[in-house]
Amino acid sequence: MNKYYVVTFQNTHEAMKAEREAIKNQIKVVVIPTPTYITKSCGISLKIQEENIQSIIELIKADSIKVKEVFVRDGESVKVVSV
Amino acid sequence: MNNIIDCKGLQCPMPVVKTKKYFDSVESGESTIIVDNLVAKNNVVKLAEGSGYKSIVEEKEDLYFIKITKEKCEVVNTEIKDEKKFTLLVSTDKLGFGDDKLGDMLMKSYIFALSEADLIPNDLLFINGGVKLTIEDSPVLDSLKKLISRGTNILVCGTCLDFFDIKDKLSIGEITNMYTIVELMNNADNTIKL
Repeated sequence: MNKYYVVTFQNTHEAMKAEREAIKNQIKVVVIPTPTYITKSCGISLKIQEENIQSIIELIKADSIKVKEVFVRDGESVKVVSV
Repeated sequence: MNNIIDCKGLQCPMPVVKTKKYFDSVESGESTIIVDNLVAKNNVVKLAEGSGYKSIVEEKEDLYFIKITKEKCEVVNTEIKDEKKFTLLVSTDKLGFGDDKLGDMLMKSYIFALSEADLIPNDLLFINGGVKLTIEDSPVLDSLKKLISRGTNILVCGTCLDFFDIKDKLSIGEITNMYTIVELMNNADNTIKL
C-alpha cells in the first residue's frame, strides 16, 4: 500500500501560500480536499509523497510555511507526525 | 456497391457530418471516406466505432481511405444497464467565482476528489479555459490519468486548444469537436457543468 503524507493548515490562505512555496522550491505536492478522517481543519490540504516530505519539513522548520498538523497515511492507519 | 465520400480539403467536423449523413440515410451499406488529415481520420473512425460499423483504414500518399460498412442486421442491445451515464463539462480552469487564486485551488481539489469518487463520469469534456487543465504542466494530470485508468473518456475541445495556441501541449485525452460534445451531452442521463 502506498504511503503518503497529508499536511493540514489553519486556514485556506496558509494552504495556498504553502502550495506556492512548494512550487517555488520545485517540490511536488497535490492539492486535495482535507480527508474526512481528519476533522476540524481547513478544507484544503496537501498530499505529499514520501520522497518529498523531508523537503516540506525543512520549509516548515525554516518558517516558510505554517502548517497545522502533518499526518502519515500508511494503508488504513493514520498517525500524526511531530515536526 | 461501394461508393466514395470525398472529404479531401475538408476540416473537422465536415467529414464526420458527411459520413454520418450518409450512413443515417441507408439501412445498410458500404462507403469509402477519403480525408487528408489525421484528426479527421480519427474522428470518422470514432464515429464508425461508436455507431457499431466496421471500419478499415488505409493510408496512401498522405491520404486516409476509411472503408466503413454498416450491416443490415444490427444486434439489438437487450442488455439493461443499471448504471447511469453522466457527462461532466469543464468550461473553466477555476472552480467557482469570487477569487481566481481560490478557484485554481478548488479546481485541483475537486478533480482530485473526483478521481477518488465511487461514481465517475463516463465522459469528461473540457472546453474554453477548461482545456488548460489538459496540457503539460497541468497540476491535475495525475488525477486525470487516474480517471482514464478507471474508464473515463476524456475529450478536449480542439477549437479551444487552437484559440489558446496550446494544441501542441495537449498531454491527456483526445481532441474533439462540437458535434461530439453535443451528442454526448444529449445522450447522457445527466450532465454536470462546471
